[in-house]
Amino acid sequence: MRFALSEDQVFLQQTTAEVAAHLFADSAVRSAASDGGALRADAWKKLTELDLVGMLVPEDQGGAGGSVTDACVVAEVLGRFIAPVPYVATAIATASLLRLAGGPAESLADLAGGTAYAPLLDARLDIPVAEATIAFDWTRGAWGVALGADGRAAVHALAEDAVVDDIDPLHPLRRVRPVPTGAPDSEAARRCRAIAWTGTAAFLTGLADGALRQAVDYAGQREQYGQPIGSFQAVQHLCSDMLVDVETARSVTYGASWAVEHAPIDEAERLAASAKAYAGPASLRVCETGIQVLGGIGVTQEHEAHLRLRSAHLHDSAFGGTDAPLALLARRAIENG
Amino acid sequence: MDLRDSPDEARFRGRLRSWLADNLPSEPEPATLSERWPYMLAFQRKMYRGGWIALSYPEEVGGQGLGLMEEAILGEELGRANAPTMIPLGHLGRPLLSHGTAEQRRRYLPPLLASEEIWCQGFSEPQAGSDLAALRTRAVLDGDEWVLSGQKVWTSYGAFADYCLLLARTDPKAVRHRGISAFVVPLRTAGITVRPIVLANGDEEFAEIHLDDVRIPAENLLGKPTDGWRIAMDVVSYERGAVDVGYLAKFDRYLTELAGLVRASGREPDRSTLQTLGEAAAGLEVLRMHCLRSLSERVEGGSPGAESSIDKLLMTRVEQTLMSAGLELLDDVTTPDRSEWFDRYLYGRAGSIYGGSAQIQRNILAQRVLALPRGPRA
Repeated sequence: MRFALSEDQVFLQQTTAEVAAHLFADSAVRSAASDGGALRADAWKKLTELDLVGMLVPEDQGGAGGSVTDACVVAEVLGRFIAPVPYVATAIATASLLRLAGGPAESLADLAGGTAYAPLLDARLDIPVAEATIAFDWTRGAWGVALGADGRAAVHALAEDAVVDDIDPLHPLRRVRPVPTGAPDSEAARRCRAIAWTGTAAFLTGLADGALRQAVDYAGQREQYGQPIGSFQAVQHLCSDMLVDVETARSVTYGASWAVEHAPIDEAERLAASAKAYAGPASLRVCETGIQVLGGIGVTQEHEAHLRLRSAHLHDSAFGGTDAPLALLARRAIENG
Repeated sequence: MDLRDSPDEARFRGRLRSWLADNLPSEPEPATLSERWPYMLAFQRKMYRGGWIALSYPEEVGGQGLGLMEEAILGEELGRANAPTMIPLGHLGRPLLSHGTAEQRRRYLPPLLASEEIWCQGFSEPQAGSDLAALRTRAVLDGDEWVLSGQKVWTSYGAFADYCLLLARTDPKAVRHRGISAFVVPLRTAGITVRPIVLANGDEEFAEIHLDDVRIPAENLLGKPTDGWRIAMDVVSYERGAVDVGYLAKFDRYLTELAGLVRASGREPDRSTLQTLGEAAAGLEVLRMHCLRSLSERVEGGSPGAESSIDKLLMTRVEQTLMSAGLELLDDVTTPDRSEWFDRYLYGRAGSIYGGSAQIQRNILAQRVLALPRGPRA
């Protein structure tokens, strides 16, 4: 057993961070909330060129043939920069569904080439059992993907309804005319759900990591009472709590990223459910505490901290919130108890 | 990332699993420490004879010469098998291993690891809790003997122990932590009085130790004079790891028990039950993964560093969440196990106090990991 990123993964993390720092400067992210999707489109093109969008698509279908851990490395870095791109929704959740649940091969290649695809969820952002009504992290013109009644991933041209005026302008939700779906009962569908949970946990961990870094920087510089506020124990303890949340969310997320690909389905689900149920609330705590450390500026539109918190809430809710993974964990424990 | 067992690890796990299947005690674990102690001790010694204790200690001191991953596997398998609680004192061999002389290692480690001689940790004093460097117990060299005077308190398993790894001030002129040395103190020495302290849950786990001109041989100094602080920090960094103290298995067993009680109640679990139990289960997976990560880092980089405070805070959070879940789920006052769970809950409150309180752990993280500026206090 070895729990550590490989050298290649550390390199992937660094290069993604360099690209992300260039694409998603704080001011760019703030204006992305009202730029009509311009940054999103540019960034997606760039991430496609770098083969990051096709990370989970096999090489012979035009992708990078990477692992879920690789994809989580990218998702975490993008979260750190509050990237307004559908990496979790498209490159992780939809790509897995197309690949593992027998979706059309040409769609997978198309996704790796940068075409917009969005996973279809129900109105509570859970994975639908019978009918999908929401395109999650939707891009104009996107195809919708959901599990069909036959248990295979199906691609739908979306008859778009209203834009949902939701909490996170960086990851739009679109109401679509109802699409009939199957329930995620097969082993392949369960594995896809576990991968979606894990990818979401990675993005949430990244959002939290960014909040932590920013809070620590700020606390080291901002002076009150003639000294940096980071020298006060009350502020130090807020930062330490953020660190514990970030590092522990990271541990369970990367453990899950390995398990969803290599472990038997029950273990894969147990770890992925733990990652999703833990990283969501942890990320919310950290993003909220980050605002507390920033003080006044943190609650304004002049700072991107509210966008970080918005993205954290949306991703905490996505794919069944904490209820679905917690119920899975509890029922498993009761069966084995 | 590769969380699969290597072929060697898989063989080890297989052998361990079948040994446990054949050797687990048939009696359930007693609830009170006075009855639980002989039960734990008997199983721990049996495990040692089977070759399952001190896995990552070298063979020449009575260990198995295996790696930290085998320790992690042991934790997982003990939990899976619902095995008795391990005595959480295994980490006390670490300072002997790293700072002991060849003679000290040969004399003390084999019986410690075999649980033939029980050790305790004499750190805290009435005036030195979180501020450990304020300790006042004195040690003065008199010919070829050290003479110790002072008092220790909150010493876990002090009333069951044969030896104490004890911190005392040897250089009263040096500043605080620089004047402290570590000693091996046989508790049967004249001048030592051990008085048990009853915990809130009824267990006599704590003790206070009074030292009144206690004379021990000069060679009972551990490490160099005034190495005490470094040795103490080494001990507490191991004490912060859930695998090192064997708590991963214990929490796993508690969770299984709790889930069994929910099942036995026959009620269809409602949303709040699923959340409470689910959060406890998720916490355990987080702890398991974080421990694997920390152990992997230790395999690469030696002893645990300041980051071990994350492990400690996580372990405490998982423990306290689990114990609170017990109270929440056993809300029927006629449930026979309710008062036992309440005792576990009370015991869990100690998690954020011993081995450096949760506040001290946060200080360490802020200053040594996040490198925030030091405050007016320091």
